[in-house]
Amino acid sequence: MLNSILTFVALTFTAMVVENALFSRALATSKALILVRSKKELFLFGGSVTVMTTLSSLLSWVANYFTRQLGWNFQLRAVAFLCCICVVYQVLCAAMVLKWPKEYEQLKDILSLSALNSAVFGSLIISSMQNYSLAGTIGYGLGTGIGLTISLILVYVGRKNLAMSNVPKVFKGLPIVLIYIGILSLAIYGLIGHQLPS
Amino acid sequence: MKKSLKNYREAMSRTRGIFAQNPVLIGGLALPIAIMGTTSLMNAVALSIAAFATIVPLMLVASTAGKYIPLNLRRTCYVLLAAAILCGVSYPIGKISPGIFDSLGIYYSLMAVNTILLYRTETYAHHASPLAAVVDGLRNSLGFSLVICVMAILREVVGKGTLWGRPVQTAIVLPSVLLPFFGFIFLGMCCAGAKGLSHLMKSRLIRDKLRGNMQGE
Repeated sequence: MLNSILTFVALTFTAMVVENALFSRALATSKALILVRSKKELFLFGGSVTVMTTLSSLLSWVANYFTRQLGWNFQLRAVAFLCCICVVYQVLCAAMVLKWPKEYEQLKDILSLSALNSAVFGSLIISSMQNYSLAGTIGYGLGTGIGLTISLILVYVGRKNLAMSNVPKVFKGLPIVLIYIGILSLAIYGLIGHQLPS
Repeated sequence: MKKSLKNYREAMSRTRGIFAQNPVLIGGLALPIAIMGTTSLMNAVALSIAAFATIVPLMLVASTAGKYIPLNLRRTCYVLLAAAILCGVSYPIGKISPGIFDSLGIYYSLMAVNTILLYRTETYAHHASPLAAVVDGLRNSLGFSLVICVMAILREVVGKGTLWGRPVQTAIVLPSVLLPFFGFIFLGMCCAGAKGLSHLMKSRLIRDKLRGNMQGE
């Protein structure tokens, strides 16, 4: 039991900081650049990605166990994980339509963007490749969602400051934000103890 | 001047998705794949094949059958169909190199949820004729492939000192070029370059036309 809790905590932290979805794997970069325009959308997106990664990772662990038993190759297992995400997404949509139809109308676009994106799918594939335990898989999923939300906040703050700065015309918009994310990525790479290869 | 601007716009619309409105450099789509999948030319070619194999057929499906699929199921259907296509395409792609999927890691499978596919099917294919949708899919796939192949060539040569796995003579080898941070910065520079080039072309066109008018007078 204690071992499972420790694994859960360690992998949550790993996914949040050491293997941050945005800064170390560039996952959900396109969505981050589209959605970091308003604070409300940012938190809604981050929250729903966290819910999606956590719930899908639970289902994907079961799928990973059975597909490995059946001897499926990596590509087929990825399709199975995508099916898990789609099932969770459809169940969440159905639950929201039945319980909170008004909120669903407002959130359906964000929900769709947060379900079918590379951060959710990527975290499930990584958990499967590493063959984590159930606690580890859920922890990694939760950490990915929280880590992505934190990185989106950093991008949002940076983007706001960059908009007020005197940036050359050709660098305005997407180019300067990508360079900013790159510098943050390098900083985090150094912060977690890596050294640049020589 | 109006006529030459019209010609410029026509030229731009003919190359829409390839040079003008490039999905990666201008649209900011499929960035994870462009940043992480461009560490070698082999990877870029494999991802380009995957892009053509998923985007083009799905644009056709979206334009012909998209309206008959309920709105909340559409994206799910497209993504699952793309994943199934990627499964089939993995066999020919595996022949490029035995270790290609180890080298690509998670990024080959992520082509199923790439934003070019989701964005173009939603915004363009549903309202376009099948032929126009397929042409748009081809243009966007070509634009994506061009960008990732150029990035991959530069990163492989500078980062590994090889091209297509074969050693090439370079003045300096910098392995840091293969890290994600450089991918972000390099792509940012490429985006700025594309934007600058577009501005330059437009301003040169206007200047030449003005000079021509003055000489005529």
